[in-house]
Amino acid sequence: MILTQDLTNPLSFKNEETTIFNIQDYCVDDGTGIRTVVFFKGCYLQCIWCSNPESQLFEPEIFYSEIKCKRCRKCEKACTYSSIDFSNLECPIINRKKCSICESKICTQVCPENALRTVGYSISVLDLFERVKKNSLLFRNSGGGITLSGGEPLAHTDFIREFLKKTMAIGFSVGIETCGFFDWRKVADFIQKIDFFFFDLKIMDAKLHKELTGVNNEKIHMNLKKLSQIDVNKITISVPIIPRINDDLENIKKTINFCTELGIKKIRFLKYHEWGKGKYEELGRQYSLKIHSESQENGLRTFETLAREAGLQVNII
Amino acid sequence: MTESLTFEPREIIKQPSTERIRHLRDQYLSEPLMIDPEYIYGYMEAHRKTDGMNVLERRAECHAYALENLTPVIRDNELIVGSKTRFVRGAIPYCNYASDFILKIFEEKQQEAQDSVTDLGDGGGIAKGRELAQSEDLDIFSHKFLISKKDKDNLKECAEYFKGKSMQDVGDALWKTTFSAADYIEKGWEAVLYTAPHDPAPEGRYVLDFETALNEGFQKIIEKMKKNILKTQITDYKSAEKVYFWKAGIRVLEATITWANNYANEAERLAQTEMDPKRKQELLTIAGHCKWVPENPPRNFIEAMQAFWFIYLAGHIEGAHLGYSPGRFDRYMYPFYKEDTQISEDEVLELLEALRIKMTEIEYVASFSWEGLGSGNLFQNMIIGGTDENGRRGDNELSMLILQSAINCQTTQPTLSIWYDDSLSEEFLLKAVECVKTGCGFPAWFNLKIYIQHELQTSGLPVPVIRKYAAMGGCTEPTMEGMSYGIVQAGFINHGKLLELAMYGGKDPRTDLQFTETKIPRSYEELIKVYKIHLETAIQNWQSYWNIVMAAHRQTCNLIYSSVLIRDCVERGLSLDDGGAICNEVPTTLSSGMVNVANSLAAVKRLVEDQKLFTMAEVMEACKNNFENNDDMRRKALDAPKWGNDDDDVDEIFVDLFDTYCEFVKNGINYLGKPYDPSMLAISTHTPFGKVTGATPDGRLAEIPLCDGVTSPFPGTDVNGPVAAILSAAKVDHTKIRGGLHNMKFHPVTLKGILGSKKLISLIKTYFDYLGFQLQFNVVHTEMLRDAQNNPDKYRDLIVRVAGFSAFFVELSKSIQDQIIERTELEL
Repeated sequence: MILTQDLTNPLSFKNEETTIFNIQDYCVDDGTGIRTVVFFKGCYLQCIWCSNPESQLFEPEIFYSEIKCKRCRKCEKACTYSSIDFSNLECPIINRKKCSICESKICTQVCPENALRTVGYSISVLDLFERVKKNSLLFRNSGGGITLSGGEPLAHTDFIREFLKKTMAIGFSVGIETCGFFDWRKVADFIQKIDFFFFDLKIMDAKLHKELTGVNNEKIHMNLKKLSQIDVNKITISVPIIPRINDDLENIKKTINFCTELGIKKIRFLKYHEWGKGKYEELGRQYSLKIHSESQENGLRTFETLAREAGLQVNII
Repeated sequence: MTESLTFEPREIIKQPSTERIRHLRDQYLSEPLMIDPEYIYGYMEAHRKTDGMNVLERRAECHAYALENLTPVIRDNELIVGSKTRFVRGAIPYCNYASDFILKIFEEKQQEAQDSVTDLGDGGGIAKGRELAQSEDLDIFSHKFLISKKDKDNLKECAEYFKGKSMQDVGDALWKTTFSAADYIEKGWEAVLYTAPHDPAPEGRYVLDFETALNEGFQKIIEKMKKNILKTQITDYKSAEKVYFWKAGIRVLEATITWANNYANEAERLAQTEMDPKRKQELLTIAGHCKWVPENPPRNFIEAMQAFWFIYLAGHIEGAHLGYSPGRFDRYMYPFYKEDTQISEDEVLELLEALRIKMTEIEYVASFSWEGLGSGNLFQNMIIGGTDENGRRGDNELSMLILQSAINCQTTQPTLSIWYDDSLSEEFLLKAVECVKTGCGFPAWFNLKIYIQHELQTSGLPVPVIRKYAAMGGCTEPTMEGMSYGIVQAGFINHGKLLELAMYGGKDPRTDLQFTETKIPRSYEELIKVYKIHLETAIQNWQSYWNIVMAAHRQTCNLIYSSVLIRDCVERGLSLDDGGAICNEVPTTLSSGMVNVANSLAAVKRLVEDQKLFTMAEVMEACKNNFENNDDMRRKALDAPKWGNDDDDVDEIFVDLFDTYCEFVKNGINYLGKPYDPSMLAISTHTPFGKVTGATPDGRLAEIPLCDGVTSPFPGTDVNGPVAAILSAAKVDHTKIRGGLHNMKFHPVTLKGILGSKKLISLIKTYFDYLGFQLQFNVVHTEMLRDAQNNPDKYRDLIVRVAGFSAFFVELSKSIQDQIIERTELEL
């Protein structure tokens, strides 16, 4: 039994809180007009090419910039969990496991160079609503709105449900960028209120999907089917093109076929970039994907033609 | 390009539309910067012969004689002719304005107290010049120019002749002996509370009445003045001065016609020996144009272009200009375009591209420190779009071609600006964004609505008049085309230094000079109070000083030619310096660096007043020691609220400072009897101003440049993105000031395609709906700029915006380049 709520009933509002890691204004590729994108923290997938590695864990984390750090060791002294070790100045060690249970993140407050920063913070629905409302005129002039992204926004359903109550009351457009891996029962009562979806189809092959993202794609496909039964026109399939991972013709053909079977009309291919690489280093992690930068243009043109021939609207960004 | 770097290509890259323009552009790019004393030598000869003449007539005679005797230079491929000097890139050393700095260059002495904090560029044509100096018989002059041995002797003679006679010397002799705060001004220069004396290039910031000059022709204006003389009975000093003024006006206009005719003769002479029949015909056509205009109204578009150039250039030659501008070119030139059924669009485009090169050829030589401030830019601002007198859209086919010419022919001058109004056509707005996407740094966008409100509050002109003639005189200062007084300011006031004076009892910590003594502040409230005392004093003294210099200007360098071409000087029989213009409310008082003061006050409020973490004395001590061994305080200072993040805790402080500044400035009366007008811009002042300013409570370390722009955030502190930055900027009442500027830097991918363009337009519209005044964009890639720094040759034509103007990136100083690179790149 699915519990449905009346989203328009102001009495039912609850000021939920959740963790996000960024609010970015003036976004131009995340839906119609100029959009403010809210990046939720936490994702069920761990794609090895992820350009937002800080979006994967649900808890706040620490960014450490080796370049900014002057090795003053103030953080080392301040840390209550003894998780920072500067005994080798060339290569300081931060014990991230211990950091994840630390709530104060005191090290980031004592660092004079801002070399240590907390990524991720808690925000309430009302605060987020006030924050995005600053863009009202820009939304009005450009036909834009808010896009919920992440991480996986649909891992924060209690928050989003309450947030929608606020945005719907003033007619703000809200879209969602999702990896598709979420619990349908938790979204069923509000999903039809979302204006559009960018829905990722990363790899069609089940085994490979599991291997490179950490989860099965079965649930993702099920969710897409359900979503397309609500309104296919709201869906744009998003395919990040990762060289030698999913840029083979077979995968793209399967993706396109899947779309057409469901009656989906729009697809976008996202060019690969490595701009997230630096963030891995700051999180003390390795960017395991080794890619020789080569032109993707030819492949993308082919995919574009294929999708067009299948009757899809295509966008490459 | 370094192979390891992968650049996101600039979306729009174009080349000049014809072989002819490519040739002219390449020639320009390969030329060194030259000093040409020919004009000033002629001026001196006339000056020698005219001792005792009425000052207006004498000024006219000297300019007229010098102009008539300039060598007419017509270069291969040129269609529009007329050159300020004999060289492609030439500057006139105006000894009549200031000769002292030129003599000091000859003596290889430091010119100003501020030279040591000035930083100049040294790439491009400047590097080329140094190379040439070694191989040919040329000397380096004032760091970046070349001069021949013979010209050098002539220049020396001029500079020595004008010693004691130049505007600067005459002014100095007056204010240094009669002004009670004279020592404050001199200390102000030494401490760099003020920019160095502006005497070597004080003119500009106005637009001639091209409409009348083109449509009536000079002959008609001469006749008007002749009639006025006949009608006037001399009964007193004032009526006599009127007659002198008209006589002077007739002399300069006739000389300008002669000067144009010299070009006609030169074209005919060249035609005689020209072997190429096509070029021969072109030269004969050019001769025909030069005989006809500017004496008579142009008969077709190409003649109108030639007429415009003569009218414009003659004014540029008369005075030592910065910010002298062509105004609403697409409005007053449009009738000629529309009525000319013979000329094709391609031909018009070629002429517009040629005009860009002509305007870029002009160089100026000022004192060393002023060149550092202006980075060699002449601030010729062509503003297009806007509305007509009834508020209907002002863009037309010619506006589109002007934008296209700037896209095709990427030169630094003229800077293009857009008067934004919602009525502008979609095509025009998109074309303007296309130009932004070339990465050249323009057009800059200005909110017409705001300026109309400003002008209503100052001059009170009728709204239809403001709409029609609103223009830009210089980088970001609006003015009324063809009806406003020029020379608008003495230089800049350094807000960072004022803050230091406030903190340290009126004593400058760098030079130990004592200014007005004030109590050492013990609290946030006291700090604000003493800051405002210093602000008011610095403004008052600066304004009083400049009024005295202007008295000397009237005696020595009053602009006669420009007076004749500014309404209503001819009708009133008054020169510009005697109040002949319709608008005399334009002189401004300028300042830069207010953002750092607001951020500093916000930090003091947070740390001393609210959180009581430190005492005022501790904060000042830490600043004195450049936060050494005080990382903790600096970190907390950096974390305090910063302007540009839509944070009322600091934004309200900024707004209060802004309002106070405007009020103080308006309390002063300018030399034409009207209140001074507040304005703020930066050009490159933020670098030397920062260099002399110790650490500030906002966490900024000593010697770091102050904030560029007026409302743009301090680099690195706008952590909330572009929208928050404009929301902060929109909090000030921009109608109070003449000018203002807000920089934004975009990565090319952000603006891709038509949708990207439309989104940028939405952003501009949104800021202007919030009553913001100005926006300008850098569309670059950080790595691209770094590469340009290391490999200037590969980026010879790369243009980048630096606070209010464009310049060739490789010719900017290292520290300015660094700032462009460091400016917070708007996140993707």
